[in-house]
Amino acid sequence: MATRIEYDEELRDISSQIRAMGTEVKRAIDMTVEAFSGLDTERANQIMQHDDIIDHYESLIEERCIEIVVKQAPIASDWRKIASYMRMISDLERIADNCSDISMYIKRIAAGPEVHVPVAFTGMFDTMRDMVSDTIESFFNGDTKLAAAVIRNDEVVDRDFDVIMKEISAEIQKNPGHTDQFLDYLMINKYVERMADHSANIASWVTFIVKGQLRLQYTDRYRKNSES
Amino acid sequence: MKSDMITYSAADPQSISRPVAKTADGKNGSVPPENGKISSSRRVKIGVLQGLMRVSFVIILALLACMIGYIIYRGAAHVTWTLVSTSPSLLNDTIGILPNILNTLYIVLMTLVLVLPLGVGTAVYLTEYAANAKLVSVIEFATETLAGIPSIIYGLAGMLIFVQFFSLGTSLLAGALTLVIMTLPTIIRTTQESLKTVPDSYREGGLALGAGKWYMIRTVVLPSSIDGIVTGCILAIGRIVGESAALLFTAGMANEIMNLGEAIQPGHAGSTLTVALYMYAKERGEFDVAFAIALILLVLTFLINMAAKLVAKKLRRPTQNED
Amino acid sequence: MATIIQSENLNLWYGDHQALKDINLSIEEHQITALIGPSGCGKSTFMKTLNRMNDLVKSCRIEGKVTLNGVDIYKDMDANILRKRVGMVFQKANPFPMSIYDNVAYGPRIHGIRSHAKLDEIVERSLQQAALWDECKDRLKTSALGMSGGQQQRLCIARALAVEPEVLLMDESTSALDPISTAKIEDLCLELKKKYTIVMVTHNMQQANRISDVTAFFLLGELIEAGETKQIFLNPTNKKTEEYITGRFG
Repeated sequence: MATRIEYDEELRDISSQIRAMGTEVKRAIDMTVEAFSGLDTERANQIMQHDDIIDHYESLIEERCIEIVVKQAPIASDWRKIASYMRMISDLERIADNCSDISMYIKRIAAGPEVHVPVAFTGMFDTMRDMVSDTIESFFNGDTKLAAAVIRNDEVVDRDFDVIMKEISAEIQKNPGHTDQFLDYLMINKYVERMADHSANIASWVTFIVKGQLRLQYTDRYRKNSES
Repeated sequence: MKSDMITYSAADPQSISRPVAKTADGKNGSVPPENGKISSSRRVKIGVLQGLMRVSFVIILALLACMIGYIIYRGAAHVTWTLVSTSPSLLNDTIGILPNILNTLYIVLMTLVLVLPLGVGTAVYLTEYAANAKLVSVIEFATETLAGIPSIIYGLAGMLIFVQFFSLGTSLLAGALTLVIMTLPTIIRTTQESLKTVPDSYREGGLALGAGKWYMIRTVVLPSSIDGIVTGCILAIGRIVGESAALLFTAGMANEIMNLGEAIQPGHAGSTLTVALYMYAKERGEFDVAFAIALILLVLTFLINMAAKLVAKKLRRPTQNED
Repeated sequence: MATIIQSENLNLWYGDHQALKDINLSIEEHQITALIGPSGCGKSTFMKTLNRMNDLVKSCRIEGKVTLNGVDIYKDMDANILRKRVGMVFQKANPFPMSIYDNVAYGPRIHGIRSHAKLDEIVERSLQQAALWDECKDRLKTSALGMSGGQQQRLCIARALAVEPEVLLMDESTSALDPISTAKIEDLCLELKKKYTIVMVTHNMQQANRISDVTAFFLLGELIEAGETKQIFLNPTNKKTEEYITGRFG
């Protein structure tokens, strides 16, 4: 006997909306990678405008989740879903925000003289894009193995971050006149690393929904930093 | 009474307008029409029923008033102190019903002392303990049957069993024993009904605290059903006081004053008020005395009822807050 | 936490119908154990085996063992003594038609306590434990039936506590009460578990989640899953448990 049909429909609806939101985020990242490699100001502006769509999704989904909590008092897997959805959309929205942030710095860099781009950037961007794509897919399919892979990839991005930071530091010492541009690249470096972190968080929430085990990335990162 | 009757009128703020249920022939069924007025035929029916009820009420009141009135009229003058406080004296050529009054009291006492434990005990057994449902229904059937037997048959039976077979002779004791059998069904039935009204939750509550079954019945169930038991008592007393045919054969028609010690022994015959009434009316033609006794019996019945109601009320008060 | 009640391979029949199938459950001391499940699943039946109230049903037959502190309650213990040690509060408050005082004193009087002073002490202590003393202390001799529903239920709790049981069984004891009375009794339970052990049957998932330590899920006479409440309500192991608590059936 099927009960709570409306409730289940509502949950499925929200899940679809998150998928749609994820698709938009993936698009934002693709556009960002493009904009970065070509220092394309036009693209950068499009990205910043596109952010509105994603913000809208976030507030919509958040409202629906809160309504479910109040109306249905979800427990067990229902609760894990709702709790995770609410955190995930926040992470997705952050990723999109970071795209806009990067776009802003792309515009600044494009306006200035050309400088040497640290090599590792391409690889880092690719890894990050894959992470976002994979984490969204792991949510689509409830694939905890994929989620675990995303979490592991975060370390790759972290290493790239360190490498790029050292490179930029060396470049600044070599060419102090271009310090502003290098600092802009440093900001972009930071944002890409943050986007990878958010993807790993989303992967943790996916694992929570499916398995009921929670491993927050935040705690891991601080533990890693204090150990290194 | 009037407010219970449904009367619709256009000015009635409570008139309800409902959709009309149309029957196959297009006429309205028994549902009031939309404007809230009932049909005149219906109004007539209601009026006739009301009228009939009022007439019945009046007839009953009238009957009661006439009966009581007549008895008072014929008997009041003859209720003298001599009548009530002496026994018949050939010497003074007076009639006194003191022995009858005493005998009535004795017989009520003796019967109750025997029938209450027996009746209540049986009822408790049937309601609380009996496991075999078949056995219970057999006993209940027997009880019901006993209740319906005409009292003169009891008189006959009592005479054969107690007066003759057990050699108690014509005596108040034999009369009391006969009355025990007669009133047993009443006591059993009313006690059973009373026990059944005690909710099971009380029994469960008692047992769940570790009370044994009899302890629980004694401390929770019986006290809760005491007013029902008292009601049964009143009914029984009423029957005892009013019984004439059965006592005629078993307790006899003697008119001597006895004390309690003598009354309970075999061989001491005595007539109660009701028997005396029969005797004076039918056999001695003393109708004045008969009506006097009738009046006294009425008063006695009234007093017994009042007393029992007071007792029941008093028994209930410490347990139930009626505020 | 020591185990205070243990059922081993407990099977129960009402006539031909098997109401409990092979129940193995431990109740730990000083914890609140919640029994949940749809109507007719056997949770109330199971609870009634713990104080042998099932004995009152003639067609009831039991196989298996239930022990209280290691002693078999069916073979080696007198039912009345058992019921003193394992008290019960019912779904609908059932105070006797007597005064508040007499209700609470009923239990101790069964077990022979007659002294006025002692009874006074027990009545006060029990009403205190049931958070009812302040509301009642000036009207102990008035009828218990004059109290509100929530108060009557707390009176029944006090009555059960008066005999100083080790375990308190509560059979959907708040289901007939308003939210505030329910909340008061829930707070009471959390306080009482320090001294007693509580087993409660409830239909209210939130209640079980709020106050119990261990939850056991029954379905069609079987014990499907039992575990720490936190885990049962966040991530139950058995799919049927999940379906029941999220309201997908039942």
